[in-house]
Amino acid sequence: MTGNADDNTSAKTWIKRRFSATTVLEIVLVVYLIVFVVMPLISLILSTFENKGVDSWIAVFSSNIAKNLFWIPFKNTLIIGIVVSIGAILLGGFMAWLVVMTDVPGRGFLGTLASFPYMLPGFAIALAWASLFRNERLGGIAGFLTNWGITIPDWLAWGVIPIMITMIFHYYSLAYNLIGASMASINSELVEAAEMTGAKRFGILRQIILPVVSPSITSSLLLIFGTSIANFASPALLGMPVRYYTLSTRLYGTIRTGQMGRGYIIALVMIVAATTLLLVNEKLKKSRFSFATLTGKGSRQKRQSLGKWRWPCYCIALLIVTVTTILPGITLFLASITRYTNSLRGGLTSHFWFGESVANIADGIPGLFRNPEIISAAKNSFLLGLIGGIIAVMLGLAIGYITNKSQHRGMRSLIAIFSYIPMLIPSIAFGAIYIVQFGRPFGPFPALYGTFALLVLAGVAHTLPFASQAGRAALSQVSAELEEASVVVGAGLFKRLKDIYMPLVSGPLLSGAINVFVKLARDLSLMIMLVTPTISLLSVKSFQYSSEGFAQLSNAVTLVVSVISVSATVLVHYFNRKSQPWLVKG
Amino acid sequence: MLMSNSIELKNLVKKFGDVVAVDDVSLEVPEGALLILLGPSGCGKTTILRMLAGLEKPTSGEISYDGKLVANGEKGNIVPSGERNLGMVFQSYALWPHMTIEENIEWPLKIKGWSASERKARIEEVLKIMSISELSKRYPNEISGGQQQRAAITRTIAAKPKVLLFDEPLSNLDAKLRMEMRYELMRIHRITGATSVYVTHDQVEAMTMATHVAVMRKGKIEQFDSPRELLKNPATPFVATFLGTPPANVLSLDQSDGKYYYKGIPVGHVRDKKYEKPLGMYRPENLKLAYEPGDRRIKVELAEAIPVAGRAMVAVWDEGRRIDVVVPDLPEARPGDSLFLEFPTEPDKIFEGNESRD
Repeated sequence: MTGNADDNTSAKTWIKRRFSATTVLEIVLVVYLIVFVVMPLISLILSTFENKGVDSWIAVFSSNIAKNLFWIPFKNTLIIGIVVSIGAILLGGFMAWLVVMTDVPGRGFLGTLASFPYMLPGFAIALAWASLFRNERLGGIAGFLTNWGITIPDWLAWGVIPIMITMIFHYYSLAYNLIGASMASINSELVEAAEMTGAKRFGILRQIILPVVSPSITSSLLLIFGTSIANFASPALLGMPVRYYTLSTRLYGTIRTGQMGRGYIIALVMIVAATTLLLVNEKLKKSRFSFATLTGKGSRQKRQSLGKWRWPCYCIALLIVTVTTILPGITLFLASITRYTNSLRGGLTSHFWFGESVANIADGIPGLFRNPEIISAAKNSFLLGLIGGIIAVMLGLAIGYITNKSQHRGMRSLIAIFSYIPMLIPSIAFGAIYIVQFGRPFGPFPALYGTFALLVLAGVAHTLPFASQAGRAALSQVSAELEEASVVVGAGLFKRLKDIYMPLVSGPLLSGAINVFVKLARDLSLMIMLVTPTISLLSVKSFQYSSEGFAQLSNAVTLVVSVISVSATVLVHYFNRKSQPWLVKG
Repeated sequence: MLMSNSIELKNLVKKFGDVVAVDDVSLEVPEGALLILLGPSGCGKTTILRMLAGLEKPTSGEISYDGKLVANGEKGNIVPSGERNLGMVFQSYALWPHMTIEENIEWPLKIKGWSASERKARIEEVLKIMSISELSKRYPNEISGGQQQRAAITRTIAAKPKVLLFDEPLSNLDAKLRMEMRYELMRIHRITGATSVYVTHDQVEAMTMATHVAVMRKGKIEQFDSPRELLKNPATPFVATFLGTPPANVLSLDQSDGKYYYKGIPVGHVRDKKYEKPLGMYRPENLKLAYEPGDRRIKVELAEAIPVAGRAMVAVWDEGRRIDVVVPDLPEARPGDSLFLEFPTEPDKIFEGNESRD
């Protein structure tokens, strides 16, 4: 309290009125979003016209190479997207119905395993497929089955069929989670009312349950279609070696061979497709009449009795989780400990996990835990997830706060829209964008290509829609009245933050951070564009080992990433329950 | 300015953008009063309460506690919320979900700088006053709505505030609990002696609990009086039709040759004052029901009849207009049957204005 306290306060209030903390935060966010989301998108568009003007456009769409460069991959991508989204919905919807709505035995076990594949990195199942089904078409490394003397036809080893199957196995798990959540919220009185009319169990499924969850089915379908057409891992591992291309692998190929302009045009096509899908979804959401009954008190779920179908259904479900989760897991593990690649004939070895460098094994690459390259990649993956997770969630919290509470409507919607943009950009295209924008010096930034900072910047920006969702969810824990109740008792801002906000917000925020950690630590399609030999990541290492033919190492690294992903996800669930006892009803 | 007045509002105005939520409100209540702000939703009553709490700033006008200016239109909140020595019970109770009931009560005391032993003693005391000692270790989501309400009140009175604010505290409770809590709240008011301001749209709460009632409508005070006076002498047709169980009937009358008519039957004499558009107020107990036509009777249709303490509260339809009547006996008729409504020779009161329902 100095002598001119009065002057000081009036100056302070003046500043407070003009530049409240909220306004400063808004400006910071808008600048961040413009630099790291909007500008990259704009420069991607502009760079397709660089050098030779529209030449690249002609090359991609109407030259004599257009068919191989764009149209065939485009067609492949569409077919894969359609088949995968329908297949995943059928499989996932069936599992969701069994586990959530019926009295099938072993529901907990089946449900846990059904949500596994989506926790795993996208390349895990594809890699497991390759380890099992590869034939000798490419010489050298064959899969277990070929090595056992079973002849595997090309169509089962490579290309469109294996790509579709592995992607269905991955995305069915997402469909299971989405449709299952929607089924869990069905008021059980709806089903009981139908049973009292005398409807049969499959009649109820078809005429009551399916129509009620149809909104969630449609939006899952669109979501899976949208993400599967941008999937990189499966077509890269199972298609590229035999020159079967999709848009994502084409994009990767063109950028890697220096045909930037063409690559960026393909990226634009993918962005337009994703945007269209999202707009369609929004439109459908609005036009559909909403099922108000969904929010009823459906907590005490009465299960549909399957009767004589109970055990047959169980067997089918068991088969599904076995081939999608258990079998790939066993294959990956087995393939990492065989002395001869994908064959048990030479016996087992722990060399690829713990062994020192031996010149005639795998070009002298030492085992996982003694391999400085892998250890450095693991460190990078871990740091990327950790730093990226923290920054993304902090930004997400700020975005959530502004979009909830800011008085400036313009700023609010600008920030909401900008922070949503990364959702529209397939990750492989997002990586491409970041090379354009930050590969060369830009404003105050030096050329960032080949730096760890670039990985973090891209990772944070790409997970932003997700992180701001987490931020909003966290903030929704603190209602206006909860805060006002603490204002009335005289708690200052600091006390409110410490005793009211932090305890309520930290749980959801931490799970948001761990989720971002998992996304980044296992990511391949975004990071594969950005890594360089000096800065590598586990997922990229696994991909490289696989394409170089070091199957054991590749499988071992994939297993490590899978274990990290799954245990972090499990940790979130555990943590959510433990950290907030007030959420668990006594 | 009277120093004895605990709460004083002077020409209070609050605008949200172009919407005038509170429009030039002035009132004074003495220390220890229980003021109820009563009115339909959107009348500005909660906005006044939030300004009293220091959660909103007045657009213009003044708020004083004990003769001390705490907020005005120019400087906003001069005394911040936490320093006004008030406690507030929120509509949603606003119990902090991550703290047990005990911690919910203790935290505000910590903020106010009470020592650990003082806190412990006070927590025990207030838990006992509200008879919820056995809930002290539970989390808010583990107890029922009625218990949450008690916990919220316990938290509010723990710090011995001089002013208590209630924002529709009973609106989330069922009918039986509401009656119980009404009594509880009056007991709290008596024990604490705190000047209280209570917001509700339920006129029964106002009639049973208040020492002072401000009936509000569209941001303005229609009448500020004791419950007794409001019933006896309503100042406006709105007050007459908003208060009472059942409320009074206010009907648009015709006048000619020094007489008032309703549907052609004479229902009163024009006295000293001339009205442009007279509205006649008829208390339910001064109307009668008959089975036959007769003098000063109109034909109506029975809507419903409720037995109340040996009498009957009857509602009838007069061509779509509901009229409430209290009669000695339940009528021998079914809803939909025809009855005859008999008017007294004079109305209970005449107002000027248009008949309206809101």
